[in-house]
Amino acid sequence: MEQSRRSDGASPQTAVQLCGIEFPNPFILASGVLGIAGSVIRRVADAGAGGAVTKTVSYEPREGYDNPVVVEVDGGFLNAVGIPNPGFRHFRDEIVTAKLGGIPVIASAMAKNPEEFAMVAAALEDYGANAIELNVSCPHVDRMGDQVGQDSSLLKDVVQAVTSKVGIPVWVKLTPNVSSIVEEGIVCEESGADALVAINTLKAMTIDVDTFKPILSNRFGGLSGPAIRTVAVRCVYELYENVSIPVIGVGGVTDWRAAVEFFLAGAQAVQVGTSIAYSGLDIFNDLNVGLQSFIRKKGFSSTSDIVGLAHKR
Amino acid sequence: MLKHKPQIVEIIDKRQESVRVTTLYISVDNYPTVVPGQFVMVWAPEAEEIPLAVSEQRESVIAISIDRVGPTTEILCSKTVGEVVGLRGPYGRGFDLKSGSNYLLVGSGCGVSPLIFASSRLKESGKKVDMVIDARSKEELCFIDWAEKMGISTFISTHDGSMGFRGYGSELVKEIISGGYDFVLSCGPEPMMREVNKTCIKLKIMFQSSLERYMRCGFGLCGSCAIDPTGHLVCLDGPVFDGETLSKMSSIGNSKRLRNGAVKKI
Repeated sequence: MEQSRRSDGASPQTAVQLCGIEFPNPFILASGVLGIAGSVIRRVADAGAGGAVTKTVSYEPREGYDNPVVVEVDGGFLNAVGIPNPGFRHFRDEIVTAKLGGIPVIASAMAKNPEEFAMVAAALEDYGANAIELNVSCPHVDRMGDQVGQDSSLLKDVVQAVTSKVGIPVWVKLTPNVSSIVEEGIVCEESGADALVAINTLKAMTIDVDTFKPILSNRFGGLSGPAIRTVAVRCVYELYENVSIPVIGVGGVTDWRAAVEFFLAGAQAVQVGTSIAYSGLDIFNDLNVGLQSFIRKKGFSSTSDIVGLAHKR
Repeated sequence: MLKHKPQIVEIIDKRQESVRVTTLYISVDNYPTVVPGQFVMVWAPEAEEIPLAVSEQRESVIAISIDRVGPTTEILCSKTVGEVVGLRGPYGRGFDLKSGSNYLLVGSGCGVSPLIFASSRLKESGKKVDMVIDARSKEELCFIDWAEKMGISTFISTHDGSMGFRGYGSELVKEIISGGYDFVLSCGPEPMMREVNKTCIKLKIMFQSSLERYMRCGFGLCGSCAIDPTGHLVCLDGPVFDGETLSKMSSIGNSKRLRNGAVKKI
């Protein structure tokens, strides 16, 4: 039990290997949460995360939207932050600093065409990222984000362009705002993606009843948190049945039980984002301790033992 | 009630503090006790949402003092009694008002506003309080009348010498620091707070400063307000930081993170 309380979060039981990368545990910081600064990613590593995805970096610098960009709703949050970032040319220092945390750093990339995507990804690899996560799923950026994910032909071109340009693993973060996430996933697998991340946020909005105004300055935003967990679990389950590349689950991982649902559905790892708003960075330690207890109690010996068990009939 | 959702509240009074600074008094219901140094996220529905320190709290009223520096603060400053704003919070870690017995509060411009709030609580609990109120010129001095009403000795500094000590607040502090103070609280430009911290370290006086950064969520999720190289979040770990922590933040007074996350030398 003492081993599980180590703040470095490493445990032989819960460690996972994904796309050839060793993660000390299967709890990865999700993109868009804290990861705009390498110095904060280091803190997340110290808190026991097994890996971290950076803030999405785009071809051009982006200012992001005016506040309000985040608002709490029942069961989660809406956000339309607008992907503020200094542009891929100015992100080297953040990745170098983030890697000092000692855990794998996955760089999230976004652009509007295959050529730009490939350039951004190549630079991020050069800076030292362990893997690339393609943001083809943000529901509130113009001509980018989920507008790529929703266009199979463009998605195919993007994934092919990136995978032929970089040597590190390429993950694709999928949008649930499509009629078939399975189709989206198959397109990615066939185009050479190394893993799928499901899901990004659901397109949503909230209106203030006193002023009659949408609260987010962008009006629409992405819904995240416990409210989307059942949708995310369903997506992971369906993808697991239809692709053979690893699936990483994300959406409302608030505690170890939520994480286990994702593993049982077929996820090999999970990402944690919004839940940090509820529990702070202590969540990583709680997740690790809870998962280890569960694995032991059920008579298993590692995280991978429980992956996909919900599919057994 | 959702903690991180703006509640629409009414402005019930308004006061001009200086050419740039306006205080709005806002009616709130069942509001938590605000610790001086904490802030609220204020939504002007026609404009943006920005962080503002609370400058006073009594019964069902809180006050926010706004420095008119851009489009949103312009709109807030021109709001009238009866109009509304959205409010969420209070957020952040406030000042330590317990560990000292003889406080010196050092503020510049609108930075004096959370210190005024701190001084009223300090006086209520019987602590000794003096204040340095600094500004670029006498037109930009504020809250002197609030301090005088509370019976606080104030030392004035203006950079152009138009009133009081001619020079920076940090220089005035050096002249008066041997007055027996055991705790200094500061809020204002980073170079000022950095200098005052150095003075306090030398004399082994406790010190806290209140920082500000571009903020988005205000509660530790987005990372926009991160300070390099320590990775502290101004909204969650701060805005109040002690002198030892401030010393480790080598970017203070040197560089800052812009709205798009790029690091820029000041």
